[in-house]
Amino acid sequence: MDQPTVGGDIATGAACVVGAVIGDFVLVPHGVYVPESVAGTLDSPAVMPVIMFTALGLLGAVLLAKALKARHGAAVAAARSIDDWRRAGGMLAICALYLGTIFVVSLPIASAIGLFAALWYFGERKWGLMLLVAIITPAALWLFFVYVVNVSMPQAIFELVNVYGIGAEAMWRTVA
Amino acid sequence: MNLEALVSASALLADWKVLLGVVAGVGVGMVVAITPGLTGVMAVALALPFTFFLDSTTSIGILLGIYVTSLYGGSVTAIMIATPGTPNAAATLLDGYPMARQGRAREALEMALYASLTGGLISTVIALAIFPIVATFALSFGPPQMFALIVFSITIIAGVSGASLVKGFIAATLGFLVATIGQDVIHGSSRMTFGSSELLAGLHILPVMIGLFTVPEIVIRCVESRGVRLQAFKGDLGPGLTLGQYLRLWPTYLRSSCIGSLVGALPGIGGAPAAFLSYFMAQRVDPHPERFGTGAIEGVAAAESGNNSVCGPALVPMMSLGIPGDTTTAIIMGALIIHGLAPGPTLFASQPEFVYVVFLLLFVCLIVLLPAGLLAIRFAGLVVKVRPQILFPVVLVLAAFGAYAIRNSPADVVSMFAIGALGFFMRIQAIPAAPFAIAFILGPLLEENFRRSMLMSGGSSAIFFESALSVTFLVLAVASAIATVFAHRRIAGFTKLTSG
Repeated sequence: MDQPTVGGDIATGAACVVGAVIGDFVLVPHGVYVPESVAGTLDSPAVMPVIMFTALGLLGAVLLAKALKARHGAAVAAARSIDDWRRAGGMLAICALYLGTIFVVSLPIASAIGLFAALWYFGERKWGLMLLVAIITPAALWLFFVYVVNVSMPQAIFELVNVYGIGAEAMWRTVA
Repeated sequence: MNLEALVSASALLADWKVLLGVVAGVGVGMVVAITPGLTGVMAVALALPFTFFLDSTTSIGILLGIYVTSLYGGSVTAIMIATPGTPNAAATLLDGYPMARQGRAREALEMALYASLTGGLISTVIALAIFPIVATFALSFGPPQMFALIVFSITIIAGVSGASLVKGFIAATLGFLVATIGQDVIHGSSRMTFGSSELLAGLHILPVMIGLFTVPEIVIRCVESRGVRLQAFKGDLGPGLTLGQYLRLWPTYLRSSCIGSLVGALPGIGGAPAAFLSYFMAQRVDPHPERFGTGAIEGVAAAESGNNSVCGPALVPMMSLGIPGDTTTAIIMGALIIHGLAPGPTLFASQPEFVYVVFLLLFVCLIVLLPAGLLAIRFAGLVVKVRPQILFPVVLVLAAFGAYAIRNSPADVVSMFAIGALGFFMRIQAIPAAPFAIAFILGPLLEENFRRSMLMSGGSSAIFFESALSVTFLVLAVASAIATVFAHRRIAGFTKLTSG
């Protein structure tokens, strides 16, 4: 799938030009706070973003021109199959779902859901194994980060356990 | 060199507690390095309180063990699952992962280990032998010189641009832009944060590297898995590295060690730029530069010996001038102060044996790293046995946990997936990821040193031509850019020839 196409180059070039225009005229003026004392000088915090957006636009224009020239030439690379796009889109959608659920049910639970979905999408069909991997992997990672390397992690379901007075830590101590 | 002090320093190391401390440090460092999300800095900081109750030599042994191993260990996950355990391993991934996919994982892993050891040993010898010279040299680097050095380093971008220079520069531009997100280093004003306090600190390098390399790989492997039994690796780890292969690359180790030593001695640059610069130089002098990025063992050797070469020289400014070059050395300096040692110009005069103890401990750490690394390679063999249908989804979750753990922030997971989506579209358009990574790492350094220079000179760019050092680097940058463009034409010509 990772083979460039002339159509793709045209789209990329156009996206760079559009991105550069949006960057220079919308994002930088509204997204970069420039102190009055340095406005218009080389010391301004806006200098680097402006230079880079402008460079992106110019490079996009060059890519666009080269791609358009190539389209008038001999061969045009074969388009990617719809199935490839669908499959890549599906995987990206699972990533987006995973990310979205992190904010709702926190990282460990979201990881179990996301992992189960990804396993299924990758073609695994042993349901018992999928369930086991989807539960054990996030739980093991959570326990490792929280109790072995002492990194603060969201409590997720363990928070509920705390609410009901059992206490994740006490439970862990009992297990250990 | 003070031989008497060297001998008494050696005697200090012949203590089982010191050796046990080094082994413990190397063990902790290995766990940290192969776990995305845990960094050497984090581990050294966490280990610091445990050293309060130990003697100074054992304490430094533990901290150096973690430091040295964390520089190497990230390469294991970079090679096996396209996930750099630490940012230093991003350059190793460029050739290491393709080697693993070609059934040459053991060769790549062993080369990474031996190159790390070789680079580390050479650079420690350099640091020990020319301790005062390196310290003075590092001190002569002000913002204009640093700017010139980074400009020179940025010419790497053209070298890793693949078939299209335009696409390489587009990737670099995107990398520079992403690096500008966050608080401005000079004035503290926000850039592209749009009111988000989570973005004020900028995007962390590790989620960006994982997003750039790992997420697109998972999506591509998912596409490839359609209707076929996906195979992660060919057979097992494959054949190991031969002595001949190792010895053949001596010039690479030497060159990369010199680069790593120079970069390491300069404050605030670190292992990742050293690895990329070494990789680029290896590609530049190779008679077949087009092989780089497709599984060239020279790429792994250069990147690993380059990034591991920073550790010895990085201690030099801290020990001799009392200036820590990065966060890890700052913590180690803190440990020295806690134990009653005052790093600075008087340390070598007042306690020369302790200076030697530190460098000898580095040697010991590197020696202990060898069995630890071989053990890590054995465990890496387990990855081959996991079916890809399970491996890649698990890597996705590991990456998310790793991204979260760095700063306990969901924003880092968001940035990992956002960069992952961008990386996927870049990849399907054959826009190379390496220039993006280099620009993201070097961009803030370039901007900061440029603006500091401007502040120093009152806005005059003549400051870049006032010192011989900065002029030398700028001339080298121009020469390098011209040579790289010509070399790139040669590579592009060769690629067209072989593909057409």
